[in-house]
Amino acid sequence: MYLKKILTLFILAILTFLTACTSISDNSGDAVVEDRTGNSAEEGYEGQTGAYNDSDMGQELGVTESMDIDAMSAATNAKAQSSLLVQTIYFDYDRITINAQGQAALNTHAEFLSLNPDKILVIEGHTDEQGTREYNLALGERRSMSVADFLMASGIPREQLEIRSYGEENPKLLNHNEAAWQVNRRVELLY
Amino acid sequence: MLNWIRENSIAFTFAVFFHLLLFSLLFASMPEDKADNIVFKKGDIVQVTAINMNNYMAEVNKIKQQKATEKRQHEALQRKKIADKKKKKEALKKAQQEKKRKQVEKKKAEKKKAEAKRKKEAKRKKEAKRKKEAKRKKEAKRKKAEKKKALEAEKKRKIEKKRQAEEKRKAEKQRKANAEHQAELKRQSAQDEAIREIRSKGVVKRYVALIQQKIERNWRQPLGSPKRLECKIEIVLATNGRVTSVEVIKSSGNLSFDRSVENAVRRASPLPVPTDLFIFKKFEVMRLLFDPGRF
Amino acid sequence: MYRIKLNILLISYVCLLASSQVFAVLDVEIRGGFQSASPIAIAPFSWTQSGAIPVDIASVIRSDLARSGVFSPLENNQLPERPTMTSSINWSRWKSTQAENLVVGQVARNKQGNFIVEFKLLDIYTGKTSIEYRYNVKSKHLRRVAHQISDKIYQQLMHTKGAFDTLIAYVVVNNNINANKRVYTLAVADSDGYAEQIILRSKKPIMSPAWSPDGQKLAYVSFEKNRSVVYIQQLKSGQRKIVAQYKGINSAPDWSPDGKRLAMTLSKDGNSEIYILHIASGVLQRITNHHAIDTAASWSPDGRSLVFTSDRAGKPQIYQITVNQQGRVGKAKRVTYLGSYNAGASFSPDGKSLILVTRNKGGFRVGRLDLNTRKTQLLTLSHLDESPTFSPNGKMVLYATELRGRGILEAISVNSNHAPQRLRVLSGDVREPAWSPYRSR
Repeated sequence: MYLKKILTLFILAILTFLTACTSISDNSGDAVVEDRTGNSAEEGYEGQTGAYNDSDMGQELGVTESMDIDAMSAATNAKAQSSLLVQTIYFDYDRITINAQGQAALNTHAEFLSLNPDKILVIEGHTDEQGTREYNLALGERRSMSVADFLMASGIPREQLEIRSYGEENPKLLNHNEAAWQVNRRVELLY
Repeated sequence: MLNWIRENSIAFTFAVFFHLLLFSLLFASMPEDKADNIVFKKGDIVQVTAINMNNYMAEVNKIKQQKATEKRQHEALQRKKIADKKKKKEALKKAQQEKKRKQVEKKKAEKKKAEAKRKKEAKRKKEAKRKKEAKRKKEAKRKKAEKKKALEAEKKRKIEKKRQAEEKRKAEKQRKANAEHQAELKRQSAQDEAIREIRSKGVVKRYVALIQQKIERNWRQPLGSPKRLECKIEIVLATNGRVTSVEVIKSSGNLSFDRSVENAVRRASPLPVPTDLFIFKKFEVMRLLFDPGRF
Repeated sequence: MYRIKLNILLISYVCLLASSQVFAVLDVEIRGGFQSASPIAIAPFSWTQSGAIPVDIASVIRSDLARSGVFSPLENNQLPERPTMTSSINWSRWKSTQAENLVVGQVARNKQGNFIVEFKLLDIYTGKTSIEYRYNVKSKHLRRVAHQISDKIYQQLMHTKGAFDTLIAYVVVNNNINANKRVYTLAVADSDGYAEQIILRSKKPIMSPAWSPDGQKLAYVSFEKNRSVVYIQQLKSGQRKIVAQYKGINSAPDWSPDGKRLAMTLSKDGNSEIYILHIASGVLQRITNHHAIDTAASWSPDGRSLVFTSDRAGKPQIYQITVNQQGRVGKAKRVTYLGSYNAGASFSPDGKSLILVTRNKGGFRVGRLDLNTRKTQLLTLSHLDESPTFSPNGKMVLYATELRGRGILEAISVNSNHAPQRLRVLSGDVREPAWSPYRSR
């Protein structure tokens, strides 16, 4: 009799355990899917992407700074949307400083954000796999903060920025070499 | 006591003679009664006649006969006893008469003695005086002679001393010579001993090295043992080198290490030991100190 | 006179010599020898019933002892005979195998359907039985019995408690190049990697599993909400609760030895700092206050200090800080000075050393720092080793590494330079191992 009680309790426990697990995973599946291919960015700007070439952005921006404001805002909008394609800022190993290319890209975001105060930019930091995971989680956050600082210095209020870090947990490339590591050391900019 | 015997010699001799007579009489009547008067000495085995049932009648007759003879003997003895008693009485009478006679004689003799004594005494005194004189004269002479002697003795003594001294010296020399000789012998034997020791030391050294090597080859220490461990064990070897006992006399404090030491010796058994029993004796009990981290 | 004295001396010397030689005990010093794993023979356990034996107990024991790094078990084909609990043993044959100990055993089934497992540990040199035990268990506990036998053997021969009857927690990822298709699993298995059970399954990363001292709960970091959040989950019921979901990072949970507090890394106040959460009351206490990154705190076994990783000196290094019961915090003191990168430190169960990840010649290795000598000894050989975790007896270290592009777990003995033993890996990349405390019955 005693044995039966234990058995039933045990079976109940296993059942709850299984349901708990599955329910958890279901929740995570439903709530959290986030598309990283930039669809969210495209939502607001359908049909308007793709006109400009990424790589020349920085220099052109520099040139257009002297234009008049209206033209500038229209131009900026157009450019902003194209610069929004620049969703990733890359970093050197163990560095949180933003290089020139990154700075240029961030400037376009800064402009976009200032023109769209309702928009919140999610700044997601990542690292390569070298070193420990806990430290990399913090390092990723540092990179995000570095980007946020840069944007705040450009006048963007803190409330428009959300800082996150995935550390080394979400690599873009899975190889264990410098080429992959370079690509993984990044900050992703999402709206 | 002897004086008393001398003075009462008659009585004494009479008494002795009487006693001897008694005893001889007694013993004279003995020989026929051996069967009744067995003197037991220590260790005498008393013969017991066993009765054989088959010869019962014969035995019974035997006994009957024995009893008859015994009776006869007893009667004869009784007769003898009466005769003896008579004889004794007569002897006693005679003895008493004798005693009386002797006593009278004794008194007479005593009187005579006393007289003789007195005379003797007088003579002695005279003699004594004369002797004294002679003595005095002698003494004087003697003393003179003594002095002479003394001087001579002195001389002699001196000579003796010298002689003795000489002899001592001689003896000393001898002794020294002997001692040296002994020492030489001892040195010789010591040298021999030493040589034997050195030779055996060489053997000992060689076997100690062999034993060390064999044990080290078989000593698996536990991995990661702390460096400065030391363990001392005492082992007993049989003549064939087999380890018959292992005892830890100083633990390293690390049980695994101690056990590894015991195992090393067990695995290495039998150990190489010299075949010469005298040298093997040195190896019979060994103390091994295991200290790998010392250097 | 001189002559006499000399003679006396000589004679007495000879006498002394003679006597010393006759009565002396030879004193010999043994300095050599070699260090190696203890050779042991484990004969297959006899199984009297029909069919295959449900668990090859001898095989589990053999792999446990091999994994410890301090035993070298014989292979089955090296055994001169297959003795059982009752057979007579030909000791001379065993002595020539170089093995020092022999394990024999048997498994039988009784009328109730339970299993009776018996074993004996024998000393090959003396032929004596060192230990002998008997177990009566259900079929599902057979593997655990095998681990408990390994523990008994380990304890008897190494004079230290064994840690084979323990669990390990770890994270598995089926690393798909497409991040959307990745599945993360938090799992718990036996110390040899068998009998895996899934604790949490998610499409988002899971990190830092940490065992409660009573072995009943796991704290971990999950990215289900698209950011790092710390959970505590009851293993038996599967129930869990969130303990930290502040703004920014919530990570690196570590239980205090009394199980009442949780050290964590939070960046809610603008920077990555160490905090202590009093679990029952929910009170949060800040420990570090420095603009540098402070993370990965780990409690000392006496519960009086924490070691953590900080880059306040430029690069990550290990620091130690005292925390008393009342909550008074001391000054952070630097512990590691050698090397350009030292991180992820945790204490050995005896509190005398730390294991950590250190950069060496461009690669990341697991090292052991002796707190007394302050010297670091490298324990692993490859270049992407991380997440070291001590066995509860402090004799083995489990860590994650990479083999042919795949994440695997390896175990090494702290004492030996024996090769690391790979843990059984089913599929996917395995990482972030955490060794459980001793199991209660």
